[in-house]
Amino acid sequence: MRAIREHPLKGLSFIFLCGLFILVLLAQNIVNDFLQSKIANKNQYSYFYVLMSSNENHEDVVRKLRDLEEVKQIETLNQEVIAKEVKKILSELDVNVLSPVLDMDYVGFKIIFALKTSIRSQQLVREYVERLVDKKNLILGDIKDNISDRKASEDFLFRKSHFVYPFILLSVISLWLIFFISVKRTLAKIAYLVEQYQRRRQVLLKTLLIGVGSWLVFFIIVFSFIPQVNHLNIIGAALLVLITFIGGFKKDMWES
Amino acid sequence: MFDQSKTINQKNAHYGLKSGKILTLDNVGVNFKNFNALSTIQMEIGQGEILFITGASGAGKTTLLRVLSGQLQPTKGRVQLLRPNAHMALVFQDLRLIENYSCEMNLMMAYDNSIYKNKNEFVYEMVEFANILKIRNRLNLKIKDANGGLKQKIAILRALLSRPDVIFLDEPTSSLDQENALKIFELLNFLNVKKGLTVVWASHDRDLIRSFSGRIIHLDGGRLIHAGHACFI
Repeated sequence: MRAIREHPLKGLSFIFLCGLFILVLLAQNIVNDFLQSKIANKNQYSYFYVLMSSNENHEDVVRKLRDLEEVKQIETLNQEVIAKEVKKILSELDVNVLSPVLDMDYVGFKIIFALKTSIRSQQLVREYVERLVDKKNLILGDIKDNISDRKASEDFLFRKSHFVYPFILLSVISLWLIFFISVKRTLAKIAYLVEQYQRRRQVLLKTLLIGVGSWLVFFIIVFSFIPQVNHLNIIGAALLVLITFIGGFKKDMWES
Repeated sequence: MFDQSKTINQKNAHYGLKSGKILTLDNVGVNFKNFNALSTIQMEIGQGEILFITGASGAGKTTLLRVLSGQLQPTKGRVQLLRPNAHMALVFQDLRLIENYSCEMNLMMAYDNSIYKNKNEFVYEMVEFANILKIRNRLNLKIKDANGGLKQKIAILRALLSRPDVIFLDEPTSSLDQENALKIFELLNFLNVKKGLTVVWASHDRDLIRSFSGRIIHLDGGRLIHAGHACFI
C-alpha cells in the first residue's frame, strides 16, 4: 500500500490494468460473439426488405414474423435507409415513379432469415408477408443471398476477425507485464530494505504470496459467477501470473 | 603504510577484545571465480566493541563486511554468530536509499512495531538523532535532491533507528568532512557506551580512523595483516 501511495500513477495504472486483464479474459466469448454476429449479419444471412404504408398494422406484422422459426431478426429501418432502398427497388424494377410516391409515409424493415433456411422457406415467408399486408400498401425487395454475394474483402475481414481477440489479449498482457515488472522491482527494493532494517524475513515472498492469493480468490469468485468462460484462458493467465510473481527474485534485489 | 614486519600472528587478531564474543570467523576465505578476495581470515568480534577495518581499495574490506553481516557466504571456513537473535544492520557503500522518497520516508523504513512501543516513540528517536546530526530541518527533502553528505547521514540513521545489536558501516563518511565524520562517530560511540552497540566500520581513511578509539584490523590483498588499537596506527 505504501508503494502505491508513493507511486500513485504507477500503482493505480497497475490496478486498472489488473482489472482490464480480468475483463479481457472474461470477455473472450462476448468479443468473439459480437464480431461474428456483426460479420455474419453482413455476410452469411439472407434477407429482404419490406416497405409498407404506415397505415398498415406493421407492429402486428412484425410480431407475427418474429414468431416464425425461419426469421432470425427484424431490423427497423430509418427514413434515410427507406428512401435509399425504395429508389433502389424501384430502379431495379425499372418502374418510373413520380415524386409523390417517394414521399409516401412508409415504414421499413429488414427481415433477416435464420441460417440454413431453404430457398423455398424464404419464399414462403415472403408470400406470408404479402398475405398479411394489403398488396397496394406493400413493396417487397428481392431476397439477398449474401453467401454468394460476399466480396473477397469481406472474406478477408471475416478471416481476420479471428485474430482480433488474441491481439487485444496480447496487448493487455504485454502492458500488464511491463507494469507488473516495474511494480515488482519497486516492491522488491522496499521489501529488501524492510528485511534489512526491520526484524522481518521473506518480506517479498510473503507480499507476493498475498498478491497471488488475492488474485486467485478474486479469479475464483468472478469466474464462479460466469458460466461461459474459457478455462484455457484462465489456466494460461494463472500460470503467467505465477511465473511472473515467482520469477526473477534475485535479479530484482539491490544486491544484483 | 603498515610495515610488513609488523604483521602479526592471526591468533592475535582479537587484541583489545572485550569480554563476550558475538561473531567469530574461522579460517574464512572468499573466492570470486579466479579472484581471491579473502584468505584465511581468523578473527573475533566482541559484544559492544568498536572495530575498524582498514585497507586500500580492493583489499577486501567490503567482502569482509558482507561475510560478517551474513550477506555473503564464505567459500571456505566458518562464520559463527554467537547470538543468533542479534539484529545486524548495514550501511552500504552505495547507501541503498529510495531516491523518490523523502529523507523521512527512508528513515521510516526502519520502523518496526515489534521493537518500538508506537510510532511516536520511533519519531521521537528519529528527531533526536536528526538533531544530533543537525539534519532535522532537511528531513522533508527528497533523496534525489539531497547532497552526498545528507544521504550518508540518512543511511546511517536508518540503520541506527532499526536498533541493531551490531552495525556494519562501509565507508560511511566518504562524502563527509572531518567535523561531520566525528559527529557520526560520537553518535555511534554514545550508543556503544549507552546501549552496548557493536560497531564495525570499514574505511580506507587511516587519518580519520586515528582520531577515533577502538580496535583496528588492517587488510591487504584479502589477508589480515595487522591488528591493534586505532590510536596506534
